[in-house]
Amino acid sequence: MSEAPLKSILDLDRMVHEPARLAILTVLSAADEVEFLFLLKITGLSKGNLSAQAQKLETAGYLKTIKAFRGRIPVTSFKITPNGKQALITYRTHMKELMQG
Amino acid sequence: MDPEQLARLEDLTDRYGKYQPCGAGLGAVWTGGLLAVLVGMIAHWGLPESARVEALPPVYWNYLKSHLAIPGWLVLAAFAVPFLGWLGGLALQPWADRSYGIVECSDWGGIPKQQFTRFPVGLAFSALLVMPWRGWSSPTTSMWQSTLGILALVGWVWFASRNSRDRLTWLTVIFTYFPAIHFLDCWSHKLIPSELVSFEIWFPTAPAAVLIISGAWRFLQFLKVRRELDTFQVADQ
Repeated sequence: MSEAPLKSILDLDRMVHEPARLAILTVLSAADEVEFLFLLKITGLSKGNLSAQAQKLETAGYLKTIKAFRGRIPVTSFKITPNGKQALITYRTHMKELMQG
Repeated sequence: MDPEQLARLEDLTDRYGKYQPCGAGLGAVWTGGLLAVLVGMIAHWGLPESARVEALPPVYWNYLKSHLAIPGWLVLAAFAVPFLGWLGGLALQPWADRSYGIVECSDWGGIPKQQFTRFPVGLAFSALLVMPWRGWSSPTTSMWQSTLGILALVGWVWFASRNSRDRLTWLTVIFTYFPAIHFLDCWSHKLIPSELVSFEIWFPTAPAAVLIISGAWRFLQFLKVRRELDTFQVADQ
């Protein structure tokens, strides 16, 4: 393997590269705001895993958690941040370059 | 996770968010149905009245006398349609959200939410400005009733569209709003038969059809995307 692609692999954002987090960010990038239930069903993750991955992404500044009430029921939704969008774009570009190279 | 799966995730999210609002289209079907019932009521009352008036000898004096007084029950029905349509949409939405929750997507690109209320509010104020000019012979009490009715509709439009950026929801608000505003505007004076036929029968018929057809189409698309979601599996986690 030449030096350039190797550097590209090492440069990959590991926060985004993990499959569960990549799926979460991909879903969030397609919408303005997504409810926990939708993410749970579409990604097929367990509740605990989804919460943990979302927490990590929030700590990294890639998503924002929104807690609200619908009537008396508490509802959690997520929103991708501009940083998260940028990280996803950069990750995709890196991956594309790697696949081509 | 391969790029195809990621693209599919994106596509499903986008389509679900797009087809979910307005009771997954059923809100529009319900509102279109209400509008069609209103058109039927107007035709039921107005066409015989209009024919009776037009049967008079066509002299200028008879033309001036040929105005139709709108019955209060019809004004009330036109006024109720926007609110009933909106309540129907509200009642249907939890059914659409039940299985997969809510995904908010913008159907209008970068237009801020507040922009949606500008057009109907501007229209209502035009109706208020036109009213004294049109209602030169009307009693003051019905002028006040009309004014309050129009202001109530403005308040409703602001309230109903403040959180939505969905095109079909906006259309349900606007399409039910026009006949109600026109009837309230004309309540303080009288309609001429041609105005009744063109503004209150033919004009709302097309929006009613648009709402029913586009609502039904959206509902079918929503069912399709929900079926796809039921079978979708993220293989690599």
